[in-house]
Amino acid sequence: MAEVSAGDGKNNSALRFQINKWFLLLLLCVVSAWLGLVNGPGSGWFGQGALDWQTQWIIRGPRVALAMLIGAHLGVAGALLQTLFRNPLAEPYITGVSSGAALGATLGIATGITGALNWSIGGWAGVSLFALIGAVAATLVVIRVASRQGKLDATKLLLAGVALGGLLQALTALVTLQANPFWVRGALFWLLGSLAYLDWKAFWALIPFSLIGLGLSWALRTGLDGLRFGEMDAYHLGLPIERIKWITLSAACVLSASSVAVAGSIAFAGLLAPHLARKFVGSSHAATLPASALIGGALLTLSDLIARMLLPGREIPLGVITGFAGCLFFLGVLSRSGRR
Amino acid sequence: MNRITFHEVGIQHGLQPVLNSVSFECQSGELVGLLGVNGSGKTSLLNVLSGWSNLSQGSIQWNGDDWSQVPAKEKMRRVSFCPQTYSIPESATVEETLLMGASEFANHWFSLSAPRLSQKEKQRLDGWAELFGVTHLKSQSFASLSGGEQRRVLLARTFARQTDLVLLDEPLANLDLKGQIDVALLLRSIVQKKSSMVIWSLHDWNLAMEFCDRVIVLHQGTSVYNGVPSGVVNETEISKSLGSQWQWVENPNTQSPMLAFRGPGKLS
Repeated sequence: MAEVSAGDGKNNSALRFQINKWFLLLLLCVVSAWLGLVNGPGSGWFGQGALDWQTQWIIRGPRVALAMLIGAHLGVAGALLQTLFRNPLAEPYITGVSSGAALGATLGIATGITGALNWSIGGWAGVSLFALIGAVAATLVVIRVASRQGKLDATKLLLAGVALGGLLQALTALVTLQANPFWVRGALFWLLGSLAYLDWKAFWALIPFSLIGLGLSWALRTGLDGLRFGEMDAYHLGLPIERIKWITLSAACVLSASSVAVAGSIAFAGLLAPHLARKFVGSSHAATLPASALIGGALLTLSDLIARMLLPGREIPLGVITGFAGCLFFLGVLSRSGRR
Repeated sequence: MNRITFHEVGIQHGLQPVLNSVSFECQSGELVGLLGVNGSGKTSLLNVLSGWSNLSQGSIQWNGDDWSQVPAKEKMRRVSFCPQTYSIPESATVEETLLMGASEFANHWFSLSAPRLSQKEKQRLDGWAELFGVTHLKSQSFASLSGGEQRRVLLARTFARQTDLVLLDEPLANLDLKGQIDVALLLRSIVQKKSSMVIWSLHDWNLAMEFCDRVIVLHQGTSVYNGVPSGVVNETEISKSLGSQWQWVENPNTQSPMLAFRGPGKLS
């Protein structure tokens, strides 16, 4: 929304309140990052097993950084798609991104190709590459179905995404059943979303996607504010709605496909973060987008911490934590918000 | 001075014709009323003029230029539109809704810098909000307003865009009698002061007779009358289109024609 410079006195208290909110959000991120860095299987809760700071940074630095970045990706992608579809249920994977990535990754794992790639490049690079190809291919199919003469039909896009998601999930199940059980376990861990075994290389590989996706989203915030009011209204206010829709979809796909390629499909974070952001800072996109990024980042960092710490000596897939905790938290917020 | 000419304009939705060879002309400084029963093609006519839908026959000219060749962006610079139905999100405040009427808004749809309203633009927006009596509602959420208040907010936003042509689709819907007269008087004075062109669709024939400079009566997609309000009384087609039996009488106070109900029409 157009920012009006707050010159008059009565706006000052409102402005201060806004600043406090952003301060709180930043504090939340810093605290989550700190918690993520100082706690872990190596040192127990709050350094009981005492590792020095440098070791903590080497072991947990990339995980915390990736959790922040991927959380930001998912939060912003969720906010973009909820506006594009004008549907509060929209989430980053709705255009078939995650099911495409899942099929790509599973195919790679089952055929053993990704194993070889992982070995030669390091980390999960092979799986990521296959997942990215799958995610992009699925998105392109959905876009092909939902667009005609350069015009994007948001409802068709939503339906095509859901339909294709079903098909791809069935195919993934089929491939998984045919594959070597040892590999299936690895694939399942990845499918549920995880930041385990990721290093700084994965973080730096993600950065270009972040710059493009987050940059486009930020530039588009005023257009998104218009789109929120419906296509017809946006058109009559002089906004180029088709261009706005295409850029929104592209940015959301860059953000969600890149994060699903690196960390698998992490449930719920992309649905939850924009909702919390809107409740906290309001629904103008100049505020919602950065708040969704910060909340998504903090949410994922804390969830990843729990994933590492909940069972001693074992790691739980991150997607399980976000699915479980996110869902409970979300239901709580929803049931409270009705009561005044 | 702007002049809009409709020449044999036809619109189809699929195979269904909704407007059929409609011709008329109007110009700046005119308050034009679009009359006709539901489904007679009023909204379709406004939509084709705003550029939201395309015409399938005939042509529309703006000062002699073919309107269908004008780029959408330029169309929106000249035309503002207040639709009959709207879907303002529940979370939007009145102020947010009003701000979208600022020209900076459309110009900054894709930009890394924030749209900043100049003091002048801010005052202009405030002026329109004041004129439509919605200034005190600014901090409230749009969804919490009454139907009439919502309508006035949308009208303020539409006029704040200060375009040459303003299209209003049933702007009096949801307004009480006082609100209807207030808005009609306001439209009248805006057209006179700013010499802009306003085309509005409405269902109240008597208000149209009192306030419009020109009325266009649509019936089943064709225009059955186009001219000054007082000329309408001689048209037999109109009572047919209204279905029941009506009689034109003279308003003793303003001497304008008034439509008086006589009785139900024959059911056939």
